[in-house]
Amino acid sequence: MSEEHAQLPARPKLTADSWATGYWGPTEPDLHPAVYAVRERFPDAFIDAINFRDEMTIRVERARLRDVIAFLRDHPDQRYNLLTDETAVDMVRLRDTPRFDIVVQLYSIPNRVRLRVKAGVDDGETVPSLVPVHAAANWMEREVYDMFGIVFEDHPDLRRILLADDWDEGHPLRKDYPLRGFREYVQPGFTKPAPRIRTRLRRPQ
Amino acid sequence: MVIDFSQPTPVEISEERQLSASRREMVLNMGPQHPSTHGVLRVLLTLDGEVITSCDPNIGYLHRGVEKLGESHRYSQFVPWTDRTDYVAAPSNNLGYVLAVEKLCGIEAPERAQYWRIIMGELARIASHLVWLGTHALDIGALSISLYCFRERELILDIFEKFCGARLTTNMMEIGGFSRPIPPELPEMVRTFCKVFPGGQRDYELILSENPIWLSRTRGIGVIEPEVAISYGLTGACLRGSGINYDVRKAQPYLLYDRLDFEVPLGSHGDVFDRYLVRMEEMRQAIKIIEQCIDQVPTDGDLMLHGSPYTIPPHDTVLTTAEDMQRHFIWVIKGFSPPKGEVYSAIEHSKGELGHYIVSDGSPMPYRMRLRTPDFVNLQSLPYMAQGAMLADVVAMIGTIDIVLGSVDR
Amino acid sequence: MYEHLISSYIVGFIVLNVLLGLMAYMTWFERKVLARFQDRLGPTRTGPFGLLQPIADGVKLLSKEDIIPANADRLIFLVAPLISFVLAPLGAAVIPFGRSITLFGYNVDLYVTDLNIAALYVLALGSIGVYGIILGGYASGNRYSLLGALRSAAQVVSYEVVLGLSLVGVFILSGSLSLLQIVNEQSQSLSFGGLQVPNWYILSQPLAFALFLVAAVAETNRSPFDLPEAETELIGGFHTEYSGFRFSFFFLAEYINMIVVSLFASTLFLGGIDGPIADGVWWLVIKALIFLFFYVWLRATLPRFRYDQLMGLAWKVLMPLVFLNIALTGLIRLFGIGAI
Repeated sequence: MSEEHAQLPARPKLTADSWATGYWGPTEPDLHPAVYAVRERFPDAFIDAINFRDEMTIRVERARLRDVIAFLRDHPDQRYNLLTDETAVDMVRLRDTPRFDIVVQLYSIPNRVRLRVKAGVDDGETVPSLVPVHAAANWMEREVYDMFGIVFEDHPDLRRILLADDWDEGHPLRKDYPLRGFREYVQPGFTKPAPRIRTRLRRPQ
Repeated sequence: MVIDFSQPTPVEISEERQLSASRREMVLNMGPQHPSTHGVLRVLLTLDGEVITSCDPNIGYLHRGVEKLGESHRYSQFVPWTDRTDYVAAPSNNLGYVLAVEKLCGIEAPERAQYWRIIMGELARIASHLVWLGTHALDIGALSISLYCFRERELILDIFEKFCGARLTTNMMEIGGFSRPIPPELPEMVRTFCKVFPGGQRDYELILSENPIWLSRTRGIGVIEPEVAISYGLTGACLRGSGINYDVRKAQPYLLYDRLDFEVPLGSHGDVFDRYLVRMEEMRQAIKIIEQCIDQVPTDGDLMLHGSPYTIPPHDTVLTTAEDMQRHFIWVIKGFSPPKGEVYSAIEHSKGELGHYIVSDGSPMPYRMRLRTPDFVNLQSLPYMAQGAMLADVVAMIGTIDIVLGSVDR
Repeated sequence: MYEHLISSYIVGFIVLNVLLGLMAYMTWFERKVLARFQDRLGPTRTGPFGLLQPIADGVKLLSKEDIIPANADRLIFLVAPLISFVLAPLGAAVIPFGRSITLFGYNVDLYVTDLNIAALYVLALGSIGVYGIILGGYASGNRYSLLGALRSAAQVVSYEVVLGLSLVGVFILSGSLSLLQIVNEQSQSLSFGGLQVPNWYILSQPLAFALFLVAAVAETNRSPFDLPEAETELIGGFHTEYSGFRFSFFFLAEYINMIVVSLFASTLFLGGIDGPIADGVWWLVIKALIFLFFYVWLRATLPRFRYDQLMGLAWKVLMPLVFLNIALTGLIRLFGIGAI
């Protein structure tokens, strides 16, 4: 809590009792200190903040993602120093563009508060890697690259991690990837591939 | 395919890596079939004599696409899959998943179920730590510890078996509580275990804690500084061994952990020995938690939230009332549709923070199911620890991270 | 002359066969004792108390496929287990299993031979025996085997020195390298004010005995010094690629080495065949069994050393102690202090 920040009147602050109950911070986006700080520092990159089930999500521009995460890590009031998770979601069935969301879950060990930061990225676009900010992002980004085919700039070692190095069938967690893969596979002892089972459940389109 | 055994088998090392190793160095392919990589972890080591110059863990040999499968299973169908990620602490995985779904649906299990969830979760923590201790000590060469650990673990598995019929992949919890009744003799079994276990733990500590060879093999080995531990996103005993106080049960209490009295052990040096001490103390604290729960848990009451569209109706009303029978039918055949949205729910698993990130599009199946498994993240620190260590230390380091490859590879 | 030679051959034949039989039951003994340490039962299904288990194991190992890896050095790979196996029981040739007896009018010595450099001979055999391990590890064409072989070479070279030097005190006291002579020296009881004390060298050389014990465990590659075959680091170490009866040769050699070293230690420090009543081979067997139990006990209890710690222990701790022991013994002997 440095002095110059304390002088700003409208800046919301986390209080001690907020730790016990709403540990994602205040539910109202305007009252959330991290939302306030990001909006103030990155007015052009900040898109919006959503709250669902008391969980605060900040959506930012793809190109400034690393800056936002670094800012949240280093800001003396925020200190979101633990990168809990970094993953992606293929939003192709929910919206038109951008296709993917990069989802970053942050946690502040000193403030005991969580935060989610999202950035939309389209197929073919790249995302700044978070490895320079959090070493933990290394394998998570490799997994995102492996599963979604999203390329991260400045990643030290971007190669497949869970699938085989020579996997040539695309990226399995994309929604257009069939559950059993593109290739027909004949099991040992069988002459033809097992029939594909179609689920009767249809998703609402 | 006919394999020609007369030809030398090509060593599976990329050309680039082969070239990068100088003449002085030797590339050693440790795993995926190796006694002490705890499954199918493969570590590419470059050795200068016995000193590690580079270490590259390769994972994915047990990848089954659990996240993809999650997107094609209904919410209640996915519970058995969580058993198969970290199979040595299956109830903890069940717990993490059902808490995430309950958060998504906005429901909460009854108090009695919450107590029993804590008990089962803590028992699973002890079981997991026992497997860790046994294999870790076995890796370092202490032969008998593993059998002592499995002796006590049997008692926990007996409790699981009594409750749900399965010992390893328990599929114990259901969205909204438990779908099975608590057997009347179960509290007594848990109490007996709480009495027996400290004696067993004394055995392990007598053999290990002051053994000079054990100390020389673990002290100052695999040191992770606090800043590095945070940067690598470590959680669980790996983080607390470095002295960072982060335990989800204390920091962001879920279930009824805020009512219980327990302490979070912290290490000070961040080496293998400190993580050993932290886990040993965690087992003691887990016993303390279980004893409090078993005293506080109501003997009567619902184990499953009733009347919610998201939970399975109770067995007796399904057989007697038409509405519940219909609801049961629909719940089983079609599943339930949680509201649109996304949640991230984390619990303190025996290995660290187990997070489930679920995106729902309002259909009976998750739109995106992400498992943030602790050991996947913790394993990243292996190259950092192994730099400049000796070959025998790598074995101790793999042990100290406490990985289960089913959970790393998912 | 010839009678003596024939009796030597007969005794040698008996000793060799008894040793091989004992070796098989040494595996049974180890498994049983280890199991009791670990809260288990051990082998129970083959015969009473699992007594037929070694035979079943032997049949199994002999009937397994003998696999030779494609990039192995074929000739050395085949010969290496034999080196280990052939050299292992030779040490028993100089162990006195008794003194001379008269049988059918012939004078029979209950030992194969009485070399005047017997102790050196046993140590030398131990050094040569390691060639089997090194060659086997090198010839397997496997990096784990190579690492195991290198570890073994370094370990044996270091501990050989400690082992040899720890015996110097005994040699100074007994004035001989012949094991029979050493046993005879030890059977003379000493009298301290009416109290009869055996002149066993464990009493006059306790430090040497402790050093010898540590070095002997390392010399036979047993836990906690089992680095050449550390299964959790090097899979199988030097015998990773061996299977079937070639593996069993290494296995047999290790157990025979244990038995020989136990007999050797009993002879040197515990008076060998000398006992309170009725001297004879049974005392030797009892003493050797204590050592063998000690081996298993160590294995059940202790974690494994790391390679550099192992070398550090040999050169930084044991070596100064061993020189200290020699110096003390020499001084005592020189100035004739005490009863010795």
